[in-house]
Amino acid sequence: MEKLLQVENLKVRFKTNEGYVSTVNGVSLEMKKGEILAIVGESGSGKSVTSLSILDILPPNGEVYDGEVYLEDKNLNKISKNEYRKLRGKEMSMIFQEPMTALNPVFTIGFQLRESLQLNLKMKKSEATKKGIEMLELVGIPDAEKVMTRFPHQLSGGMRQRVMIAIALSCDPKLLIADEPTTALDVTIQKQILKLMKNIREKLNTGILIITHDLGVVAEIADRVAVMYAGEIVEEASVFELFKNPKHPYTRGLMASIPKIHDVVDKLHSIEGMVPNPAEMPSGCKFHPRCPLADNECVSNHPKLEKISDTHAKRCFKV
Amino acid sequence: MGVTSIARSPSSKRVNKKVFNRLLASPTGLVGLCIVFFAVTIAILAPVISPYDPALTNPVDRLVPPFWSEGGSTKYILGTDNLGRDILSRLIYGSRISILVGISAVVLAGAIGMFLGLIAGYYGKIWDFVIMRTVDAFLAIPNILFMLIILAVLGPSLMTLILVLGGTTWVVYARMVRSETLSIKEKEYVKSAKAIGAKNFRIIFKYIMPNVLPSFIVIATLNVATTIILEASLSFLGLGIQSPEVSWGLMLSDGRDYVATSWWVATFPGLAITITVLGVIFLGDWLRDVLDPKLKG
Amino acid sequence: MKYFFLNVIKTVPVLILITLIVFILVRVTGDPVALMISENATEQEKAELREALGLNDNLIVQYINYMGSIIQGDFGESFRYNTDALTLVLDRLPASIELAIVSMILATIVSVPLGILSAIKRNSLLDLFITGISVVGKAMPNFWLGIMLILVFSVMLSLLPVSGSGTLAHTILPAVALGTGIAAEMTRLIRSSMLEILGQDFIRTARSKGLFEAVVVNVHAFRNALIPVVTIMALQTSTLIGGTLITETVFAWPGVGQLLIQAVNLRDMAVVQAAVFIIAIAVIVSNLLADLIYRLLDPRIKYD
Repeated sequence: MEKLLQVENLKVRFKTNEGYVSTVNGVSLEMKKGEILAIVGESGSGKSVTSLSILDILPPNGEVYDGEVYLEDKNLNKISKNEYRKLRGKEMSMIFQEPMTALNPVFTIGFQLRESLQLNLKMKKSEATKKGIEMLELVGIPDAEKVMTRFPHQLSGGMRQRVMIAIALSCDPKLLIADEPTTALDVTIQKQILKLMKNIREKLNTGILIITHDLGVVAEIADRVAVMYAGEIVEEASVFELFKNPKHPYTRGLMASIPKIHDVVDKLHSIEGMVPNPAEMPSGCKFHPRCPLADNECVSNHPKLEKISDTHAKRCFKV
Repeated sequence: MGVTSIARSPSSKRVNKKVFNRLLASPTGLVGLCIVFFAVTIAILAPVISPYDPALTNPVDRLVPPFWSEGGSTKYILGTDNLGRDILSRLIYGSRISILVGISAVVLAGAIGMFLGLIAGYYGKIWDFVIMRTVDAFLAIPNILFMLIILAVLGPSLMTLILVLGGTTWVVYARMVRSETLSIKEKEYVKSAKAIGAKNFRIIFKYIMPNVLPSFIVIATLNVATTIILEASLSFLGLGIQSPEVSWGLMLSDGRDYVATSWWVATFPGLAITITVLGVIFLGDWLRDVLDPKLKG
Repeated sequence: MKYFFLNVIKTVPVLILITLIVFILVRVTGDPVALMISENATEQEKAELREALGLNDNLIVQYINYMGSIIQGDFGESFRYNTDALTLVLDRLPASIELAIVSMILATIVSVPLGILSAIKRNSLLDLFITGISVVGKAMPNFWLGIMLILVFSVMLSLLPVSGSGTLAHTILPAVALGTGIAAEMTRLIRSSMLEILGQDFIRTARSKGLFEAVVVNVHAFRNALIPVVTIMALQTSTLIGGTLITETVFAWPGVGQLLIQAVNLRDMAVVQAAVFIIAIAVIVSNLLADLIYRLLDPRIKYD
C-alpha cells in the first residue's frame, strides 16, 4: 500500500507564564492509505496535541519546534500557511470529541456543510446543497434535506457527530483525524459511529487516525496502534499483536484496567500515579516512577523505541 | 483564584502584605491609587494650597491665558476665567465638590441598596417582590430622567444633588446584594447559626453582610466614577452646584461659552474630571481583581 | 412575534409606574400651581388654575384624571411656548432620533474592528493601546469631549460648525461626542466576548475545514460574539439617551434633550412630563428592538 502520512520526530511546545513546556517529545508515525491507526494514551499524553499539529491548528500559544510531517510526498513544513490552509478540509480533515460544541450554534447544518464544499471544491451553492444532502445520507442521517435547514442545538449528540463526520468527509479527504470521536456519546451510538467510520474507510479508502483513551474502541476499529505516554510513543504494534502480546509495562497496565465483565477480579489492576506534568518530566524513562519493573537503568537512561518484529516496537529496557 | 478566600479570611499581616504585593504587581492599580490619594489630599488641603479665593472675581484680569501661553503670567498658572477668577484655585476647590458628592451619594445609594437588597434576599416573599419590581422600573428608565424631574420640582442645591444622585442609583447595589444574599443564605454556617437560634437581625449583620461586602466595595468604587461624571453633567446643565460654589461641571459650562476665544477655561476642568475618574476606575478594577475575581468580565 | 407582543404587554406596568412617580413628584412635593404658572402670576390667577386643574379633588381622583389625560396625549400646555406640550416634544423627536442613530452607527463602525483586532492580537502592544483608549473614552465626560471637539475642529481648524443642525457637517461633532463613550464600552465588550468565543471548539472546527482566518474570525466568531454584545448594549440605551440630553445642550442641537433641559431650568412642568414620557417610551421601544435583534442573532432562543 502507498504511504499516506509520515510524522518524523515531531516536537511541540507551549508558551506559558513559566516559560516553554514541551508536550510532544519526538513522535514518529507512519500511515498507509486507507489504514486506520489508533493513538492511545491517558489525557495529557500529548496525543491530541500531535493530531492538532498535523493539521497546523494548534492553539495560539503552541508551536512545532522540531520534526517533520509529510502528507504523501509533500513536506508540510516547507509549505506556506496559506497552502496548509488549502490542505485542511480538502486533503485532511478532523472530527472532535464534543459534538455538542464542535458545530457553530448560530449557523444551519446546511451552511456549515456547504461552506467547505464551496471553498475547497469551488462548488456552486446548489451543487453544494446536493452534495451536502448526499453526505448526510452517507453518514446515515434520515430526512437529510430537512436536517440541512436545522441548527445544531436541534439535533441529538449522535446526530451532530454524524454531521461532523459528513462535514469532514465532504471534500473526500485522504486523511481523517478523529480525536476521541465517541467519548461523549453513549454506548450504542458509539458502536454506530465506529461502524460508520469503518464503512467509510471501505467505501472511500480514507486513512483514519483515531485518537482515543479507550482500548475497546481500538479493538473495534483500528489496524495498528501506537501507545503514547508523556509525549512519546512507548509501544507500536498491529492491533492483533498488541492485544495478544503487550510488551511495555504501561500498555499492560492499560490492558489490565479494562474491566472484564466475565472475570471475577480480586483487585482492579490499574496503574498507580498520574501522567507526569510536562513541566516536571522525570529523568530517564518517563514511565519509571509508575513502573513496577523500574530499576537504576530506567532512572538514568532514556530508552529508544526499538523494533522487536516487523510489526511491533517498544520503548523499554526491561521486556 | 483562591484570592476570595484570602481576602475574606480575617485580616492578618501576611494577608495585608499579599494585597500590597498584588497592588505593586498591577501598575494601573497603583496609578489609580496614587491619583485618588492625590485628589483626596488636594480636596482636604484646598484652603492651604489654593493660591486665591476661588470665588474672587477680578475684572482687570479677565480670561488671562495659562503662564506658558502668550499673554499669560505666573500670577495665574492655569489662567483665569471670564470673571477673572483663578482657574487653578477653582480646580482645587472643585475637587472638594466632586469628591464630596461622589462619595456621599455613593454612601447614600449604597446604604439604601444594601438595606433593601438584604431584606429582599433574606426575607423573600412580598418584600422581594415589591423591592425587585421597583428596581425593574428604575432600570427601565434612564436615571438622569428621574434626576431631572426631581431637580425640576425641588430646585438645585448641593443637598438636593446628593439626595437625587443617591436616591436614583441605589438599584445597582440592591440587585447585587439581593442575589449574593440569596446564595449566602443557603450556606452551611448560616443554616447552623439559624439552627442554634440566632436572631434574623444577627444573622443578617453578622453572617451575611460581611460576605456581601467585597463585591459591594468593588461596585461602590466603580460607581464613584459614574457619580462624579453625573454630578459634573448636572452642574454643567445648571441643575447641580450653583455659583458661588465651585464644581468642575459648573466651570465647564462657563468654559463652553468662551471656547472660541479662551481654550483653557473649559480644558482644565475636563482634564481634572477625566483624570480623577480614570483613577477611580483603575482602583476599582484592581479592587475587583483582588477582592472579587468572579465579577470579572 | 408572540414574544414581541408579550414584551410589549410587560412594559405597561413600567409605564404606569412612571406616571405614578411623576404624578407623586409633581403633585405632592410642592405646589403644582407654582410650578405650572409663571412666577409673576397673581393670587387670583393661581386660584383659578387650581380650580380648573381639579386640585381640590382628592389625590386618587386627581390621579385617575391625570391618567385619563395622558392616555389622550394631553400633558397640558407649555407656558413658555404657549403650545401643546406633546406636540412640542414630538416636533423635536426626529432630530434626537437622528443624532442617536448616527452616533450608534459611528460607534459600531469604530468599535467592531477595534474590538476584534484587540481580541485577535491579545496582549500585544496594539491590544494595550486599544484597551487604553477605550478606558480613557469611558472616563471622559461626553460634554467635555464635545467642547474639546468644538475647540479643535471648529475654532482651531475651522472645519466644522460650532453648533446647530441641518447638514451632515452639523451632525459630525455631536455624533462623535456622543458616540465615543458608547464606542469605548462596545470595544471592551466585543473584545472580551471575542476572546471567549475564539477559544471555543467550533472555531477549531472552522479552522479544520480550511476556512480563511478572516472568515473564521469575522463570520464564525463574530456572529457568536455579537449575541452578548447586543444584550449588554440594550442595557446601555439609558446611557445613550442620558448622553443625548447633554450632547444636545452642548451643540444647541434642536432635539428633545435640549428642550427638556430648558424646560427643567424654567420649571415648565407640562413639557418636562411630556418629554420624560416620550423618552421613557423611546427607551422601552429600543429595548424591544434590541430583544428582537437578539432573537434574530441567536437561533437557540426561538425553539427553546
